[in-house]
Amino acid sequence: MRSILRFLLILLAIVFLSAFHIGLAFLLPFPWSKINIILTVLIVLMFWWDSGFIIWLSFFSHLIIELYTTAPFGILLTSGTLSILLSFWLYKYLFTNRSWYAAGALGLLTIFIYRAIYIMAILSLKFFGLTQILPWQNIMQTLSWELLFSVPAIALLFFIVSRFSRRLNTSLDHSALFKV
Amino acid sequence: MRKKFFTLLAISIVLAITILTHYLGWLKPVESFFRYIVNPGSKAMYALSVKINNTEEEFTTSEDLLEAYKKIKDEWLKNKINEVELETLRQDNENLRQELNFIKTKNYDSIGIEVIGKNIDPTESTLIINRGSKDGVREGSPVVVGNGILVGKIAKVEEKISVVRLLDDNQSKVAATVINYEKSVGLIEGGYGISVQMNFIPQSESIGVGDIVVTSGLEEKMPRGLLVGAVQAVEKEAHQPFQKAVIKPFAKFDKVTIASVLINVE
Repeated sequence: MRSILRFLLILLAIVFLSAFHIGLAFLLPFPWSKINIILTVLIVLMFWWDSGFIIWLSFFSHLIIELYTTAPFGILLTSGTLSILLSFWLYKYLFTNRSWYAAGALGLLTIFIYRAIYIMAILSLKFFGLTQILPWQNIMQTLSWELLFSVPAIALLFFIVSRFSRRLNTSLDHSALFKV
Repeated sequence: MRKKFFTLLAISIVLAITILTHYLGWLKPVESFFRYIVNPGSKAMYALSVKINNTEEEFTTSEDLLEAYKKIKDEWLKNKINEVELETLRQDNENLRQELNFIKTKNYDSIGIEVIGKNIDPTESTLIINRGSKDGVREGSPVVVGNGILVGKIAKVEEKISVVRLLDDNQSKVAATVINYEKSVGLIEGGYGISVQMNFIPQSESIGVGDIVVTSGLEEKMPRGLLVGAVQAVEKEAHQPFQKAVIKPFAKFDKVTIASVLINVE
């Protein structure tokens, strides 16, 4: 029963995350609509859960997003999933400091990796003749706006969550060492 | 390091299987299930976004209002002086509207559609509509609003929904004609912000600001005479075989909520 409930909660979280990403893309005016909500939330969750399960969350969220784009199926799914996987390894072995600036730096790298894989995927499809156009100008503009707005959003979200969460609050960890 | 390699390999295999099952059509039940859950929320949020972003008549300062008033007053004076010319233009406009009122007078079938969302990937300019292959929508079909104003073309079709590529999308290309003396033909391309550009217009042909641009009917599934926009500026370079025109589309892409898809266009 508990595992069924857990499964349903996770499914709900995936749908909510994707719907939130879709909704904010509609509601927010340009350039705020360029914030990558999924990556923003996933990176903060990565620090929170400290678990590789985040990669599967990314997989299913981007699978839903794929249903609403005209890009060939698989591009967003591949770039979203692999970027979170690489980001998780960076989190485990490089960004071990739990702070808002570490979250921001990890977010910056994640978005770069995400768009790099996106470009490589489109280039591969172009090489095999499955797509004709690579909208370089659009991708570069999008990357610039995404970085400009998503990275501060990640840092801010981490900062806010860390104020209310014991897991992310490093000051509590330090104080615990000196408890008698 | 070995563990990481196997993890990467496993995830890549899962991705490859997912993509393969999508193209084989086996993933349709899962996709339909997710769409069924997400679509109502998407539709509600899109409708809300159109409402919120409708700031056409709002002024943030009294200076803006005064400027707008002065501008309108100047325009009114010009219109008064050119009343005779305006009457001629009105008659031409009426003739053009009758000519272009093809949904009622020509034998094109159309499907009424509702917009339930817009592009998620920021590199696209697309709309999601609530009709799909089950309703007769086909890839490449034109999408119009009002009395023949072209909004875009169907880019992707699923069973119950479709994706419309708007004219200002960077991958959008539509064959068009300028309503001028030479009936100049060219290609309307998007990807230039809120305007679109008409390229490959022969250098020798004369195009003026304000000239109306319509579809030329030279491509499959796109009838002749769909309104595209008006020429806003002309760019000519010496020793080039073609000139370009910046076109202001008649359609307001961020305010489309209801439209029609033309089907069975010959």
